[in-house]
Formats: sequence, C-alpha cells, structure tokens
Amino acid sequence: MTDEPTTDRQRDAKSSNLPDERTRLRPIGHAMIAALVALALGSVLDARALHKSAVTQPAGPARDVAVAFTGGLQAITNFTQISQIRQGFASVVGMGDKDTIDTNLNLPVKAAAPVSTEPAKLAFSAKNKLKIYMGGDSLMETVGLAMEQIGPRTGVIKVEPNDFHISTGLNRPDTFNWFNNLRDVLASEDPDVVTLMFGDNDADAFMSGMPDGAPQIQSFGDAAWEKEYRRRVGGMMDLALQKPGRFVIWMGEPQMENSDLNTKQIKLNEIYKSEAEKRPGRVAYLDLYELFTPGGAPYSDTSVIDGKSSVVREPDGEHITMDGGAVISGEILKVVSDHFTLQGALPASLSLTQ
Amino acid sequence: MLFPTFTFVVFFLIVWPLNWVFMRQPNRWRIFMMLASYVFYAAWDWRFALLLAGSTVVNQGFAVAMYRTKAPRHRTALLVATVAANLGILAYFKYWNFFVDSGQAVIGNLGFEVPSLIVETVLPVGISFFTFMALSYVIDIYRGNYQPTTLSKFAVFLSFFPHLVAGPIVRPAELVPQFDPPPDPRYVDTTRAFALIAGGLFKKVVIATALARFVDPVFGAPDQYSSLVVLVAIYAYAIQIYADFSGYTDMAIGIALLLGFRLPQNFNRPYSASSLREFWRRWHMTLSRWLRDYLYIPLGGNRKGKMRTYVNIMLTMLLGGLWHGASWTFVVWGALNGLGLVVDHWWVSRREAKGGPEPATSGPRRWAMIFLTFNFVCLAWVFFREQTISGAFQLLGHLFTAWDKPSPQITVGVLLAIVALLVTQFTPPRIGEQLQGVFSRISPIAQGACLGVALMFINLLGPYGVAPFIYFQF
Repeated sequence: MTDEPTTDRQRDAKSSNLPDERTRLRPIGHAMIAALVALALGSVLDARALHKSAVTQPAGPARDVAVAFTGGLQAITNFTQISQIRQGFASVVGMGDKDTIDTNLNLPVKAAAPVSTEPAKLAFSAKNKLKIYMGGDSLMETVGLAMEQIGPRTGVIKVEPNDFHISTGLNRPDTFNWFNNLRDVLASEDPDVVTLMFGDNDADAFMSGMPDGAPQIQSFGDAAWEKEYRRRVGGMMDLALQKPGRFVIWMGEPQMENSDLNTKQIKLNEIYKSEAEKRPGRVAYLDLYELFTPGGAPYSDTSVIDGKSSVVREPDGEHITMDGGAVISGEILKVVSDHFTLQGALPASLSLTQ
Repeated sequence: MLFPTFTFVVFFLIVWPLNWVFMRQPNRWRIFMMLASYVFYAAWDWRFALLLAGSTVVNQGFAVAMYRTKAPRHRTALLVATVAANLGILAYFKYWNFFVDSGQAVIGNLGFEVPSLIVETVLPVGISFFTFMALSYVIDIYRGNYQPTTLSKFAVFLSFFPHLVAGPIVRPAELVPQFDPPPDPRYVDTTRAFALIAGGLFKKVVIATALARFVDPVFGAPDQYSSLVVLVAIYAYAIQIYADFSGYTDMAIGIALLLGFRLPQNFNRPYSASSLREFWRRWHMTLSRWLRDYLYIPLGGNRKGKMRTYVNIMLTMLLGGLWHGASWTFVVWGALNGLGLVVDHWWVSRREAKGGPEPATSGPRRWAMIFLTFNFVCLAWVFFREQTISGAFQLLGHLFTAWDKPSPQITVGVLLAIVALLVTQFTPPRIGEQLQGVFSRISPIAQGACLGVALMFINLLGPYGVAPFIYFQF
C-alpha cells in the first residue's frame, strides 16, 4: 500500500523506441469524422441486428420510428447484399441465426391427455430423483434461486438451473420466444415438474406472433386479446403435458403495488387459473396473490405466513425477495408432495442460510 | 444511461460537438457540462441529481469556510463536520440497513425483541465514487495541498459524466487544472481514446457478458455442477469482474479524452502481479491510492513499527471491503486481502532483514509467484461474488466433492474468453502503443472504417441487450 503505482507505459517509454505520444495527437474534427464513419458503417453492417433490436422494443411511437428506420436500412443492405458480410461471419462462429426474429409459437395441435389416462401417483426416491424446472420472468429469479437451495434438502428432488429471463413474457415472442425455449428445455432436461410464472410483462395490449387472420387487438383485456392470450397460456401448458406423467405448476403473480398494473395482474391471474382448471390433475394453480395478501388484504411488502412475518417483496412493489422466494418454494414443495409419492421428508426449515 | 447503449450514443453525439463549441467560453462551458452531466445522472432517477447537487453545495461551503478559517481547531472541527456529513449520507443510503439488521440479529440472539428500523431506500448510483472524490477535495484543502476552486468548477469536477458513476476516482488536482486553460481542439489523443473505447466495449459486451452467462448459474447453485465446472467458474468470475470494471473505466477514460480531458489510469494488467502488493498497485488503482493517502497514511502507515503497520493494513482493507457493499461477504473479502498483504509485508521484511535475494523478475520463480497471487485473488473473489459467507464456503466445498460429474458447461467460448483476457495481461504495452501509432497515421475515414468493422464484430459476438455493470452497485 505504501509504494507508488507501477506505470509500465512510462517505464516502457523510457526503455524503448516508442512513438512519442504527442506525435499521434490529432484535431478533434478528425475524430468526429472517424466516429461518424464508424457509426454509419457499423449501422449498415449491423442493419439486421439493429432492426431486431428495434422490433423487440416496448410498443410505442419510439419503437414505430425505430422499426421504420431500421427496416428501411435492412431492406437496402439486403438488396445490396451488404448484410451478407455480417451473416457470413455469424455463420463461421456458429451464430448464423442470431439476428433471426422467430415469432412462431408452434403450439401443440393436440391438447394434453386427460387425467383419467394417467397412472397412479408416480414415486420418486434418492436414486430416482424428481426433476423440477423453474421458468418465468424476473419475478422467478428469487423463487428459482430459493428453490435451488431448498428443494435438494428433501433428498429426492433435483432442481434444474433457474431459467428466468428478465423483461419477458408470453406477449412478445420477438423479444424472447418462451414457446421455443420451453420446447428446448423439455427436450434437453426432461423435467417431471414444470413450474412457470409470467404476467408482469404481459400487462400490455401489444402482442407479436399473432396468427394470420386473428382479430385486431384494440386494448388489453378485450375479446381478441383474451382469446390469443388464453391460447398461449393453454398452449404452454399443453406443450409441457405432451409427456404422460409430467405435472405443471402455474403460479399466478402476487399483488402489485401499482393499482393499474395490479388490475391487469388480476385479469392475467384469472386466465392462468381457469386454464389450469381446464386440465385437472395435470396442472396446479398456485395463487401467490392470495398467499401474500390473503382475503383481499391491501398490498404490503411484508407477509405473515404460518405466524411468521417476513419481508417478501422488493421496494419496487413488484419483485419478490429471497425470503419471499423461500416461502413460495415451501408452497411448491407442498403441491409436489401432494401430487407425487416422495420417499423423503419435506425440509423442516425454509431458511436460506443453512 | 449505460455507455454501450443507443441512448448514450445519441446523448454523446449531441454533447461531444457542443463541448468543443463552448470550450472557448469557460463560463458557458462549465454550465453546459454541468447540465449535460446532470442529465446523464438524472436518467437513472432525478432525485439522485438533487443528492449530487446537495453534496456539491455542502462540500464547497465547508471547503471555503475551512480555507478561510485560520484557527487550527476550527479548521479541524470543520473537517470533522464535512467528513461526518459525507460519510453520514453514504452510511444512510448504503449501510443503515446492514448495521440495523446485524444489530437486531445480535439483540435477537440475546432474547430481546426490538422494533424493525429497516428503511426502504434505493442506493443512488455512484454515491461511493463521488463521495470519495468530494472527501479528497476537502481533505486536500485541510492539508493545505489544494485551494478551493469556484463552485462551478467544483460542480463540474464532481459531476463530470465520464467518471461520475463508476470512476476512476479522480482528485481535484488532476482534473480542475485542465478546465483552465481549456484543452486545445487541435491536439487531442483521439487514437488512444478510440482504442480505449473499442477495447472497453469488447471487454464489457463480449467477454464479461459471455462469462456472466456461465458464472451466474454456477454461483447460484454449485451443487448442480461438477467440481471442474465450479473451479472454472471461479477463474471465469475473476476474468468477468476485471473485463466488466476495467471495460467501463476504459470507456470512461476514452470518452473523457474525446472531450479533451485526461483521467487517471485505473487498471494496469492486474493479473500479471507477482505479489498481492503489486496486485493492489494494478487493480482499481485510483481507489487503492485513495485508501493509501486518506486512510492508511493518516492511521500511521508504516511509520509506527511493524505491528502497527499490519494493523493499519488490516483496517484499511477491511474498510476497503466495506466500501464495496454493505455485507459481511465484502468484509471477509477485505479481511482476506488484508491478511494476504500482511503476510506479504512480513515476508518482504523478513527477507530484507536476512539480506536475502531480491524477488525474481523473470523465470520460473516469478511465474510461480504470479500463479499463487492469481489463485489467492480468485479465492477472495468467491467471497466478493457470493451473497452469504456460508454460500461461499458451500461453493468452495463443492470443489472437492464432484469430480466424477460431467462438465458440458465448459465450452470452447468460455475457455477462449478466459485465456484471451489472461494473455492481454502479459502482452507488453509497447505492442498496443505501436498499433496506436500506426492507427494515428491513417486518414480519419480509414480510421472510421476500421472502427465500424470492430463495432460489427463486437455487436455480433455480444448478446442483445447489455447487462448492468457490476461496479454500479457500489
């Protein structure tokens, strides 16, 4: 701590024939020309990426302007084949589809098998562990992290790495295609339980990936919006339920401090609950709204659960604290243990410091 | 407003030419730069700008009063009041809940119940950085090393947007004299500016973000992964935090250069250090020297005997750890580094007392020392990264228990990112200087073409969207 910092550049300058720093000083005008050329060339070479960034912005006038501008730029670079430069390098480094905007939902045509065809309670043990997948928007972050700590304490549950994606939902497959993501996860991880939570970013009328000929959505919650959103929620459930025996836990998000957002959240939760009820025995609806604010209580960042008061919500009035995540993890484990035969005890404590 | 975003590009394309237009009229330039910096800062939360303005006025008021006061006791009282005000604000926003929570846990363990004193606050971005800069201003004036400048110059010094949110921690004597006379627009080190900005972008957007995607899940649930993956994740985090933080400060220094101002170097190939002392002379250099000059030396430095030196080092590093965040993990991180520095000092003094040989500057022994230092630093980073001390021990314990598991998460990309950054640590600076010399001699249009292609590669190899900078939380 007592010595002067080593300055290798000074040392090197003394001991070698380095060009004097002053010889490379240039007028600021040169730098401005260079910067403008760099930005112009970079924009042309990256036109497809810019267009994708513009398309995936939140709906509004700024997005409309950005989409129009970058769309024109992309059309020119496609016509002149300039876009092939970036695309060529992307293919070489294995990122050929990086700039593709995939809004195709690819939802299953056939709905999930009814419960009557399901076998009796599946059993899991330390040798044959139950695999739980946790996926959703940013509210899932702490829930998934807590579950990763608490779930394995049963000795019979393996929790897959938390798959939360900030600022995503089912409305905007252009931003993040949850349908493709879930399909990939099911193929690679083959979980026994799929736990999902969405809503915070879906409280909006704008939807991408609308099917051809679908009626125009005018506002959040109108008939056209509800029909399409229900199709997506049900589709996600059916996607997971294509494998017999797999179980889905769909969590309705908790009360939001902002009253406008909360009104929309109530509408979203109604859809999740009713779609879950259409798939009895295969989808459980976990009501976090009721869990944190029972009996229609007003919003609070603290919640009394099993006689113990905890700070369960972040100061932003939306997100869930780690303690809140631990409480929810306990509820998930209860649902799982009701549905399956687990040859292990539920954890006595939901503490995250163990 | 993050540097690698479209919003910042638009902001800078407006501010940059206007900066040079106003430069010849210093009074107008100061008002303009202050406004621009406040717009930049208020983009996070306009209330933060009020806090920054309050800090500026209060510190300037105390500084001027202290300068005008002749009686040493009164000067000292004013200094104590200024330091208390600065640290009080920092403590309220950053440490209140930490101390309350820790105190309540102790009282609770004794069987007493106390009402919760936790307050809901949002930590203002960069508060630790501008508070330390304000403190260096008033302390330098108290020591007679610096005279108060005008309110407008001090306001620009404190709010200058390139360094505002994550440093470098600049001293008034380094920046304020550059305001007057103003920089000459005919002689700007634009080549170094572009090199720093492009290099910083690459480190942040490509290296740090790619490694974050590998590191975050492993630190979140180490039990899920093999010991080899955990080991690689520990090394990867060391590279990630370096790429993230040095990437930001490189961009900050480059942007300041384009505006005509030189900010101090903040990183100097830290992972090439062959001792912990050397590491701390190369890592976050402006914080290290701040702690040395305003904490370690006032505590007595190495002037009061060996034991006192060791105590001073420990205290400095513990407080340095706590500066990073209100958590016991940062305290442990500071303690580990303090302990390492004490051992380092003890070892050197023992060798000097015995008349032993000077440390090797090349050869296997030096490489062994570099390897040891790097691994010790990586071990300490585990406590820096983890949320809890028990979590850190859990992760370290997992290094020994799952060597039989497969490690598919370790991809060529992850290894390439780690190796590429490590190679830069041992690349002689003269190579970069010579490349900059060549770049400076080509025409502006050719320079722009090179930078445009570099932008394409950075954009291609990086993800969509930019992850927050790690040091913004400090």
